[in-house]
Amino acid sequence: METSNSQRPLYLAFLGLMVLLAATIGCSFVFSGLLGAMVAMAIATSKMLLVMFIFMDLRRSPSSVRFAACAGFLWLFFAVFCTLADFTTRGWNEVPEKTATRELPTTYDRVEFEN
Amino acid sequence: MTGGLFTLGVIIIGGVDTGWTFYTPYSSTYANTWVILAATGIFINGFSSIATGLNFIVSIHLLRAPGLTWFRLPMFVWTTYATSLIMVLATPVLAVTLGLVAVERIFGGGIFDPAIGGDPLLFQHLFWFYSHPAVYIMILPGMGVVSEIVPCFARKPLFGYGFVAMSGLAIAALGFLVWGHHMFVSGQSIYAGLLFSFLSMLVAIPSAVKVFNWTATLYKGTIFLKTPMLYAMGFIGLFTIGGLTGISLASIGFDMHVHDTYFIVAHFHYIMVGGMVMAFLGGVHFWWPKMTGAIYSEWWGRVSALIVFLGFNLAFFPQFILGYLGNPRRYHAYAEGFQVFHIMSTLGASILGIGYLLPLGYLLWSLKYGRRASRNPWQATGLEWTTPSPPPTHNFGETPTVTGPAYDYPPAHRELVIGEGEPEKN
Amino acid sequence: MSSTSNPTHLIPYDSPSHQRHAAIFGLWVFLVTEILFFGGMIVGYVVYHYEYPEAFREGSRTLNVWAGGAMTAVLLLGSLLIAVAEHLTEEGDRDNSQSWRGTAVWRLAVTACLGVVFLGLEFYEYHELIGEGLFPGSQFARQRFTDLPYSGRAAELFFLMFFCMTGLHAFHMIVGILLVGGIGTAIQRARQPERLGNTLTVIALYWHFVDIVWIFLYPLFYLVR
Repeated sequence: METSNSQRPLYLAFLGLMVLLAATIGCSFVFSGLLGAMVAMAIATSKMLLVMFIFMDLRRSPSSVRFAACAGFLWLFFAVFCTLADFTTRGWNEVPEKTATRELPTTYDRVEFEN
Repeated sequence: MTGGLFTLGVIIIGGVDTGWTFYTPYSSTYANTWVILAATGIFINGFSSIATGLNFIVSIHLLRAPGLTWFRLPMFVWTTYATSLIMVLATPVLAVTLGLVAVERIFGGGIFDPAIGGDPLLFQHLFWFYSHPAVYIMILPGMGVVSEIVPCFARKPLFGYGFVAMSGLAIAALGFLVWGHHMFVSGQSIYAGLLFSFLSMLVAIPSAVKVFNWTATLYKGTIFLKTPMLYAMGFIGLFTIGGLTGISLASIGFDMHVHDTYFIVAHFHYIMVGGMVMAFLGGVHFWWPKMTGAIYSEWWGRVSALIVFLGFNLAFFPQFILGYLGNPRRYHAYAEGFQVFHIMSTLGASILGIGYLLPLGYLLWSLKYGRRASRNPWQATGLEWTTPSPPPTHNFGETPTVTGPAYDYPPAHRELVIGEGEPEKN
Repeated sequence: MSSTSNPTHLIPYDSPSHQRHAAIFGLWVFLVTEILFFGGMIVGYVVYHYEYPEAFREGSRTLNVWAGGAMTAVLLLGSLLIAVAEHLTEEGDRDNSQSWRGTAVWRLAVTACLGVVFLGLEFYEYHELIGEGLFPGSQFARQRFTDLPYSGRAAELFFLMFFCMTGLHAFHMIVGILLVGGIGTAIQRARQPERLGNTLTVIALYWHFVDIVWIFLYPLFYLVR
């Protein structure tokens, strides 16, 4: 069946998604650590926007629908941000990975830390 | 219903010993009771709140009557909208948290178990992300009811309509950013505590906007002290006390002092009982003629409103003092010096109980023996008062068109006569 | 006021487009709850990734990047097909022709099959991981990660989050496959298939959302080496 005009954006979006998928796999070999995570998340976000605006037709949706979509991500941001506000500023021993005991506790009642 | 059955079933077959907060790692590792079953019940209830919230949001957005623009909506609808937003945005997080607790109990991973690397505070974060906004789920509809009652019995438009509407939304939104104030002494970072403390105090702003606007509505109004109005004024006073103690609790130093004492109990009850239950009773008395078509005894109504107000204050005000003096909550015993306050509190609770039983009596009585209400017994504005009392199954014969703002009260009458009428045939 | 006099839309709505708007808006509000449903776990993931970065790196190395990439591609192809099917339905509705029905149903069927392929790959991976003793719990093969805190149990947290989040996603996939299969069958059999347009749109939105979740899960678990 021939592709009508209205379907062309869909195929282009799919092409873009495949390119981004290849890019994110490639980048994962190049970058690592925080930078790698940021690159991966940036690519994932662009993929998400492609899917939302082209496949889910957000570009032609009424404002109330866009409003709902924004609210979801804003609230997710609230949750992550405020929780991290706690975990990143504790500073007792930095993160537990560096200081926690390497022995498996023998009992569940009491946990001893080495330092 | 199904969720309720699960939870009730759990109480019958053995109960849950985790307290209402399900704090980990006790609930996830040690408790030997029916945690998963109770969690299932809560999970199912969560689905129903999500569905309810979704229904309200979509209906309010898309199914308003012609002419009923956003800023002509009754305030009760605005607060219902804010409440639904909270239900939709907060409940899923609680659901997934309980799911993780269940996973940990079944498979024994360490999500919340500090002994094997997990972090119990993560549970508290996720839990309070739902459970703090949940108290706004309870209070916001009460604020809406009061915003309906006050203009009606002051015979004036609601002062600052836009601000009251927006402050409801502001409370709903800010309510998501303050959950850490339940965790000041739990071992979270002091910097996070500072952030949450600051944000918690911000909630006072929209709350105060509401209180001041209700007061300004009363100013130079023609006030009729009918039963719903008595409850509404009780709400304004008690909510103010509860709100102001809330600000002091939001400051970390003071919270350290009164944490887990009767002070918290008193604060919570001033908002929930003094606020929400008063508003609920006010709403019941306001819409009772509409819901049932019966007019209750105004004299008994006023008496019980006064009894509730007095009993409530006697029951919970001493608890502020008790808590400040250091009486912890959730203990079955207390120091001897606290006895006077405890006796006052118990006495007040008994009076409060009488105040709650009275409406049950005279409201039921009115169903059979009360006079019949007209379409609009309070001469109130709002679409619901244009249908017969009680409303027929199809509320409106044809879709009504709204032409004016809400609370478009005419210049005051000298008297507010409770409208009576014959039951109408549809 | 009865539904028979207005066959194209239901009682409370003024017009078909009004009803369609309500359906789409309602589903988006539902998707918002889904975002936060996964969001609770995402918070957990972020916290533990922050606390045990090394454990997450070790855990991620045991997963197969290429299999994960293939799974992503499979899902995205399904998304494309269902979006095309939806457009076909909309155009068919406008042209009042029936010719679109077969092509749309064909695409929906392939989408559902791709979903099954995805689940097959995922469950095969689960099978492998469980075979290696990487399923969290008392049997967890922590001797493989003795350099990590808590005798390797920190790595267990990675696998716990992995199984919880991908498992929840797999559950959504199963629901999605049933829905897509159901709407395909319904369109095939319906006498007036263009009236199923709203239902198809709503199901497609759900399917796209489940894809978006995977778009994030893939880098979060497979690519944090």
